[in-house]
Amino acid sequence: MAIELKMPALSPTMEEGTLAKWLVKAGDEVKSGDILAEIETDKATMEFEAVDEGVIGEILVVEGTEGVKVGAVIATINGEADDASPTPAIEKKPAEDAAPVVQDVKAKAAAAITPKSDLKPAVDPELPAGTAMVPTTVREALRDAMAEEMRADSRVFVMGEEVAEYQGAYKVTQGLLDEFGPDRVIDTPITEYGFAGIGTGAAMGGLRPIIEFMTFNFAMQAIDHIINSAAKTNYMSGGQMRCPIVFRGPNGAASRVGAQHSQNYGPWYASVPGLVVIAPYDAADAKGLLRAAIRSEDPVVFLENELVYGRTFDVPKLDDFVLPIGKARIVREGKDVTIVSYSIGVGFALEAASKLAEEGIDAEVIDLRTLRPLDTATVLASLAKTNRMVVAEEGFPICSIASEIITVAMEQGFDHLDAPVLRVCNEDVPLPYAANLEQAALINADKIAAAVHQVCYR
Amino acid sequence: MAKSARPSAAKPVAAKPANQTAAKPRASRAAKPAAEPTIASSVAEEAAFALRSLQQAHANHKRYDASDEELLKFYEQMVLIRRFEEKAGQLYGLGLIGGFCHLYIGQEAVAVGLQSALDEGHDSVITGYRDHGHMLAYGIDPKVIMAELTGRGAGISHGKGGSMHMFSTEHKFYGGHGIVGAQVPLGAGLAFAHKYRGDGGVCMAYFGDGASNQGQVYETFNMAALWKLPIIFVVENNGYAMGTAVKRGSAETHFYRRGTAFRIPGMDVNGMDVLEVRQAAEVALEYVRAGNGPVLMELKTYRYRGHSMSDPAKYRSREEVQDMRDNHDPIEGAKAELLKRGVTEEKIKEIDKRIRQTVAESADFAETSPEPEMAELYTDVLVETY
Ligand SMILES: Cc1ncc(C[n+]2csc(CCOP(=O)(O)OP(=O)(O)O)c2C)c(N)n1
Ligand SMILES: [Mg+2]
Repeated sequence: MAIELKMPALSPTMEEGTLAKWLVKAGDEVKSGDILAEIETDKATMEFEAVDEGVIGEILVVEGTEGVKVGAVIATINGEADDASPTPAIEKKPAEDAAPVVQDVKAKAAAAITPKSDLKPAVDPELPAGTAMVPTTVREALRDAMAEEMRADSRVFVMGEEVAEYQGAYKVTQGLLDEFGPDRVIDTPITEYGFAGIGTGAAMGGLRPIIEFMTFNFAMQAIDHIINSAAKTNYMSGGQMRCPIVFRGPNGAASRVGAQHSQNYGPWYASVPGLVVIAPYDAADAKGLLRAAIRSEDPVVFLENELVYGRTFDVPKLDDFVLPIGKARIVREGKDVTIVSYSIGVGFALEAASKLAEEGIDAEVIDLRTLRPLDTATVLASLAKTNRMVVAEEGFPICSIASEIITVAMEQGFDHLDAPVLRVCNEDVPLPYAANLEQAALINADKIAAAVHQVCYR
Repeated sequence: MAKSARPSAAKPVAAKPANQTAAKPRASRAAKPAAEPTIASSVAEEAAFALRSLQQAHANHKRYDASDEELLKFYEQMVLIRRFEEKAGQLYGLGLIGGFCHLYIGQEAVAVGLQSALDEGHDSVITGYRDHGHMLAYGIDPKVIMAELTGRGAGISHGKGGSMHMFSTEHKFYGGHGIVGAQVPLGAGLAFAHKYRGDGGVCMAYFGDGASNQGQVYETFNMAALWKLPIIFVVENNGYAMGTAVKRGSAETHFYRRGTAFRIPGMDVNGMDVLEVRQAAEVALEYVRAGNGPVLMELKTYRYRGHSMSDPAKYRSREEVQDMRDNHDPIEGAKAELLKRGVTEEKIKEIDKRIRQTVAESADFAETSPEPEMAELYTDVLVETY
């Protein structure tokens, strides 16, 4: 009985990968635990182990093939006749998994470079005409921002779990150890409270630390230093004790990692005076704002998003590309309604806006980019133009950034409102693991579009 | 501080103190403290200090005298964990399991050896996210575990927890925690409850070599020792915390010594031999049940697979992994011992077959049972309505 070997999913977000290398060939005998192949994702190279015993039948995808879809059959194993080990899971998989495997490496490579979505926000207007645009992933943009600042300023260093030798748990610090060495790219033990405190102290002592949290969920271990030590000391010292530090890492829901690993801390940090809070969406903003954050004299909480790391956007090729902190950006102009969002929510808002356009509703989309201080002027100007507003936020609804935007609209934009401002947030529950429940709990473009219909009364 | 009840180093502490019953650990408080030690006597005191006495007791009698039946049972439980985890890895590759999934392959002897010594359903167990093995070793139905991994309504957390967040109050298995180190004070809290109620139960709290560096672990050590909580701290030292080898993350790599500053006796245990593990558990449990307070055990073990399913595994060589599989495998070790004792190959094969069947059924169940009802999304957030 031939067992089909399928392209494995090696991470929660992997959809396809490169079959980099076969370590076995047809006719080889394999046993459970043998390494069969090396598979590359955008994050890393991984080994693919045999689970079953038997003899390799056919290799169906040649090594070097890119863009192999998860679930595609890549080889077969002929199991031992007497080994009736039941593998119903494999046989029962529906045929959709057997996606056609493209063996044309070049064609696939070209396809892989194309951005996943065409929801690229308009470029910041203040760029000089003729500036070249480089397609860059958010992951690379963040790395480039750190590298450029580290080249320019020897006080800047990066510290966190797995940031150096492992090249970052999500590969954001890839290559930094090689370039800057172990004195400036520092692996820590799993001790968030401790290293956040050490970073804060180092900033008080005149350095410019970038503290990476593997995810912001783990920064809850360290939140006392972020808030009580970093945010308040300048005030308490009458302006004597500065704390120029960046706390950064992925924030918000990833993909089915459960309640303890899926939370948006934007509203938490944004409620604290003494902090700057940034949560960019696209690669250019990620780069320009991270550079600004590193240069800032204030403690900055810089919230990234794992699901956005791999998305590609144009980044202007400029030597000193730094964006202003505290400025929102109109990523899509429109006249009928304003959708305010930040981080991954901007992608959903843009998707909703293109759907709405087909239905004759012209939505303006604002990316807040900085959550503290909030750019209320941009939000209010847009409201004055469209008179209707929806806030989209991948996070809990209660005491959210959406709550704050709505307050601003009530206090300062009341005369411009033609309808109550609605918020579209995640359901008010800890994020569940089950695929159907998780999907139901999170925001998406349809939910945003539905709210827009509601405020537009059509 | 010095305590008259403290046994000498020569005499294994596990046998003492005889006057204390497990149900009334508070009796130890009755012991009269000796006078404050002088500087000279404190040196002698260190020598007599109980920190090493459990280690000594273990060294004197390394392996548990298991009957054939017992060893067969350990073997079966370890094979169950191995096959279950292999299947889980397979289902992950097929997209039926999502998110993070941490396999216990290679570490089976730890959970089986330790928990076989516990009173299941009475003593508490708590661990981190690498929790499938501890659940199986505590007799929890593989079907409801696998169905949780696939996120189905029939899963032990109704599909709402996933691989890292599973619990069974019936079995006194308290999770299943995703925040590295958090289970350690929680475990001490479970131990506190045992002591408070005087029910004679102990808590076994597992954590990794990486988790051992979290500050809350040491805050817990201090309180557990100060209040003589009935807890066994179990460091599962599998050599790595994600990609960080022990020596790159830890100044003191002998984790069993890390309780010294809190006067918690340590034990250094080979976690790849189920009988050594079980014997160590006997020693530790006797000490803890007698009301002496916590024990810190370090179990030297190894994970064969990546940290989670997405692990580039560049931080160790294939040869290193292969050497562990070939020469230190706990299941192969138990099997060899069974054969040496004259248990027939046939009998062992029968177990293997039965386990394959059990695991196949659990996978089947996990694939075919439906996703949770949509209404589940909003239940269990709070218990009461307000
Ligand atoms: C507070 C916190 N920080 C970081 C993480 C991410 N993380 C999950 S497991 C892990 C490594 C833990 O290693 P170890 O304690 O040795 O346990 P093992 O995985 O080897 O069983 C890390 C860093 C986390 N879950 N929680
Ligand atoms: Mg470990």
